[in-house]
Amino acid sequence: MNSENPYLPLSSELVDLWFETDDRQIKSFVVELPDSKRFDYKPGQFCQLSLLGVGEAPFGIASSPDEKHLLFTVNRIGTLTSALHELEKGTEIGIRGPLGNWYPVEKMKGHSVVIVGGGYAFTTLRSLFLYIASPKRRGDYNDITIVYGAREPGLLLYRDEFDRWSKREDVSVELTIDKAYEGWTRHIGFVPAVLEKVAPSSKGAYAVVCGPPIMIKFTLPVLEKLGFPPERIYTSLEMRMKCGIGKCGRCNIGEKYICYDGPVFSFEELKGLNADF
Amino acid sequence: MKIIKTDELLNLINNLGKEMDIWAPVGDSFERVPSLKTVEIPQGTTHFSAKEIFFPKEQTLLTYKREDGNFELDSVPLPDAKGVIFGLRSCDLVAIAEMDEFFTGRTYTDVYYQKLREGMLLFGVACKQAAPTCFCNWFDPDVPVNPGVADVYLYPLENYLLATSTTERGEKMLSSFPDADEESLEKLERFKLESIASLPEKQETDGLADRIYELFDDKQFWQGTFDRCLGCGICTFVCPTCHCFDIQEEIINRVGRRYRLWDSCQFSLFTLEASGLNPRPTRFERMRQRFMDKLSYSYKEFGKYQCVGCGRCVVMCPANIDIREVIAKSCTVSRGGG
Amino acid sequence: MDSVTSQIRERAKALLSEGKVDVVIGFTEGTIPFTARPVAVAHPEEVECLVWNRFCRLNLASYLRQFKDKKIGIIAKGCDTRSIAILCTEQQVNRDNIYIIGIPCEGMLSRKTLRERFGDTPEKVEIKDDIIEVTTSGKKESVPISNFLDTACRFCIHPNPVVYDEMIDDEVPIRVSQEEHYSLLREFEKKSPDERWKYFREEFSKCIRCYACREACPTCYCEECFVDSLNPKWIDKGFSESDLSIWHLTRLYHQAGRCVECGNCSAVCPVGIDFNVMTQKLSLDALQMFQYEAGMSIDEKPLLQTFKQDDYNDFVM
Repeated sequence: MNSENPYLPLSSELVDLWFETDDRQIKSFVVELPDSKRFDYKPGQFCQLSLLGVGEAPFGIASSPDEKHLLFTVNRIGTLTSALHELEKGTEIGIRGPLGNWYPVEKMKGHSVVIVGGGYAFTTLRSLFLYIASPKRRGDYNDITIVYGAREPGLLLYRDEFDRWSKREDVSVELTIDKAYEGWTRHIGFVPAVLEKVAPSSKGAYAVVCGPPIMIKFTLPVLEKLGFPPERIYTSLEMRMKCGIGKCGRCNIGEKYICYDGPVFSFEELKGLNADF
Repeated sequence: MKIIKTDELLNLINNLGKEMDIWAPVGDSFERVPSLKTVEIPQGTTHFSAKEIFFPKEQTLLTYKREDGNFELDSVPLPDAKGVIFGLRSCDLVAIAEMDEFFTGRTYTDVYYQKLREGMLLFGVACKQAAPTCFCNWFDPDVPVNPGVADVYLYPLENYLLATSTTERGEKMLSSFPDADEESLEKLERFKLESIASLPEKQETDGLADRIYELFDDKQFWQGTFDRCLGCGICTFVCPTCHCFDIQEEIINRVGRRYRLWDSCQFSLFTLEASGLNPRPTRFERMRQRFMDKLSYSYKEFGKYQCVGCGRCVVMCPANIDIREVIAKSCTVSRGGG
Repeated sequence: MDSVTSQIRERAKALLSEGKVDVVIGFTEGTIPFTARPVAVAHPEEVECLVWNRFCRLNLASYLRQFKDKKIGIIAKGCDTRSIAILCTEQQVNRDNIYIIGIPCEGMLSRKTLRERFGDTPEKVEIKDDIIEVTTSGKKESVPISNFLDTACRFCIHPNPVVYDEMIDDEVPIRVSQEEHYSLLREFEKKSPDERWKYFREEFSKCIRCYACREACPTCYCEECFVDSLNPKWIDKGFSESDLSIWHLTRLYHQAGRCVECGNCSAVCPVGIDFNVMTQKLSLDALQMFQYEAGMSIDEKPLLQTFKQDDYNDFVM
C-alpha cells in the first residue's frame, strides 16, 4: 500500500497467466512487484487491481504469503475482468493492497480446520490452505480437511495442485462434481451433501466457507448439524467496491463495510447485521 | 472571548482574501466571492452545504499518458487551495468534524480531502434564530451556539460580534482584539438562551440507533415514506455528511485520468455488481439504506449520527420526504403506538 | 374545506370501500410551506388526509409503475392524465387497473419561485382566491397568485383531464392559445445559434447529476437508463460540458413524441435547470411534423413506433 496516498496503485508486472478452467472463463495471473514494494499479507486479504484506462476492481489474493509472487484468479464477468483476460505477459498492472482483514489463522492454531469451497470461490481458500498446511506451520494445526466442488471437473480451480495435495497424508482433500462425469472417480454430488458424508469433526474445529450464495445457504445447516457454532464458521463476503479503504461508502452490510471491517466475517458477526440480501 | 466590530471582521476576512479565496453563503450554496461585504447571513442553512469545498463533485485522483499502448503515470496532482469559509452554521461544523474523522481517520488518510480541508479557515456563525426546518437540537441541545471545529466562531450581537476560537490559527487571528467585557458576556448568555429557545421541541433520540435498526424489516413502517420516494439523489447530495463517491476513468486525447465523483446510495448502480447481482435491487432497499445509515449504522460504527439536523433534505426533497417524521415515528412505533 | 378536496375524499372513500381500487394516489398536506406531498391511501379511513390545492405540482403518473400489481385510483390533472395515457399505450400500466379521477387544473404554483420571493420557510401561507398571503417574520404580504404559476402551467393548453373515469368539478377555461403555448420557444428561436448554445451550456452546467429529472419524469422508466449502462458505457459520468450536455439532450430526445410538458423535470430540479423551452420544442416538432400530440388518447399508437405513408420525410436525404 502506498503509505502517502492510498488511492495510488503500485506498478507491478504480469509475469505469467493461464486458463484455470476448461470453459476459459477463469484465468490465473501471477503478478510480480519490484522487491522494494513487496508487502506482507495474510490469507483472506484482497487487492485492488487496476488497468489504466479501464478501471479498478477488488480480487482476493490466491497466493500464500510464502510464495514469491502474488496470484490472482479472475472470472471474466465485467469490463475490467474482460480487459484483464486480454492481457499478455509482461504487461504492467496497478495494484493496491493488501486490503481488508484475514482468516483467523492465529485463533485456529491448535485446532482443526475445515475448508469448504464451491466453484470460483476457492481463491483465498487456496491462500489459507497453503498457509496452514505449509511444512513450517502444519504442526500448529490439527486436522485439515478440504471439501471443494464444481459443476464438472473442468471447472475446478488449481487442478494440478489438488492432485498433489490429495497425495499428502497430513491433509484430507475431498473433491466433488455435481453430476457423474466420465473418468471422474471422486465424490459426486453438491458440496453440502459431500460435507455431510465426510462429516469432519467439529470438536474445537473452525470452518471456512466460500462459494456461491446458494451453496453457502445449504452448507450452513450441515455445519450446524455437525456441531460447528456460528462463531467458528467464517466466510469472505463480496460486494461492489470502489475505494477498498472504507471511504466510498457502498459496500456496507448493516454498519460494517466489507472492504474495511471485512471481507472475512464469522457467521456470529453476520447474524446480527441488517443485511439487504 | 473577544470583541470584534463588524468592519474589523470584514477587514480581517478581506485581508485574508488577498492571499486566499473567500467563500460565503450566496443564494443556494457557498460561493467564492471577491470580497466579503456583509457579516449578515440568512437564517438557517444554504440549500447546498459547504462540503463541496473539501469534497468536490468531481476530483482527479491520478493522471496518465498513453504512448504506444503503454501507460505512464504522471506525478499525482494533489489539490491545492487556500481559503476562508465565512458563514458556516454550527450544524455544518458538526458535519465537517464528522467528515474529517471519516476521511482522515480510520486507518487510511484520504489525502485529497485532507489537502483541501487543511487549506481552509473556517468562520462559523452562531444562529440567532433557528429556521422552522432546523432540528439540530434533537441530536445535541447546544449545537446552534457551538464553535465545534471552527477556527473562528462568531456570535452576532446587536452591532458588534463576540468571537472565540478552537484552533491555534484561529487564536492567532483573534489575538489583537480586546477581550469581551462583563456586559458583552451577559448579552452572550442571553443570545445563547434565545437561540436555543428558537428551536423546535426536542424529539427523543436516546436509543434511536437501536430503534431504527430494529425497524429494518418492518415494511409497514417504511411504506408511507417509500410510496412517495422518487429515487433521485437530492437528499444525499444536499446532505453535509453524505460522503459516498464513485471512481471513474476516462481517456481524452491520450491523456487519461482516474477521478472520483459524488455518488448516491439512492442510485441502482451504486451497488450493482459486475455479475448483475444487486443487493439493493429496488428503490425500497435504497431509500431504507439512507435512513439506516444516517440514523443507525453511523451511530453504531462511529458513535455519531450522520444526521446533524440541518434540515436540508427536508427542504429540498421534491416529494417532501421528511426525516424528522421517520425519527418521530420510530419513537411511537417502539412504544407500541402506531 | 375546499369542495374539490371534499369530493376527492368522498370518491376515494367510496372506491376503496367498494373494493374498486386497492390504493388511491393523491396529495396530502406537506410538512413544509409551498408543498403538497404525494400519498398513497390504502384504507377508507385514511382518506381524510387527501387534499387538493395549488401546490399539487408533481405529476402523479410517475408513481403508477410502483403499484403495478394493484388496482389504482389516481387523482389526475390534465398533464397527469396525458402521462397515464402514454404509459398505457406503451404498455407500462394496464388501463383496466387504473381508475382516473380527473381534476381540472387552474395551474400549480412553483415552489422555487415562491421560495425565491418569500424564503424557504415562512410562518404562514394562505391562498384566498387569486391571492396568496404569506407571513414572514411577522409581516404579511398579499400577492396575486399568477406571479407564481409554474412555467409549465403558465403555458399549459390541456389543463383539463383528457382521459378519465370520472371528473370532479367543471372544466376550467384554457388560459392560452395554441400559439401562446409556444411563446417561450418562439422567443428562444429568435436568438442566434451562439446565444442558444450559451443558454444550453448555462443550464446544463448547473447539473449535479442527482437524476431527479429522470426519476420524476413519468415517461422515463427504462429498466436501465443509457446513462447507467456499464457495458457498453455510452457516456462518462463527469461534469464536463460534453458529458452533461449529452446526458440531458439524449434524455430529452428520448421524450420526443412522449413528453406532455408537465414540467416535472424543471420543478424537481434542485439547481433550477429550466427545461421548458426544450420540452416545448419536442412538442412543437411532433405537432408540426406529424400532427401528433402526446397522450391525448389511449388508442393512439406511440409516435415513434409507427409509420404512416404521409409521415414527414424531409429528414431522409
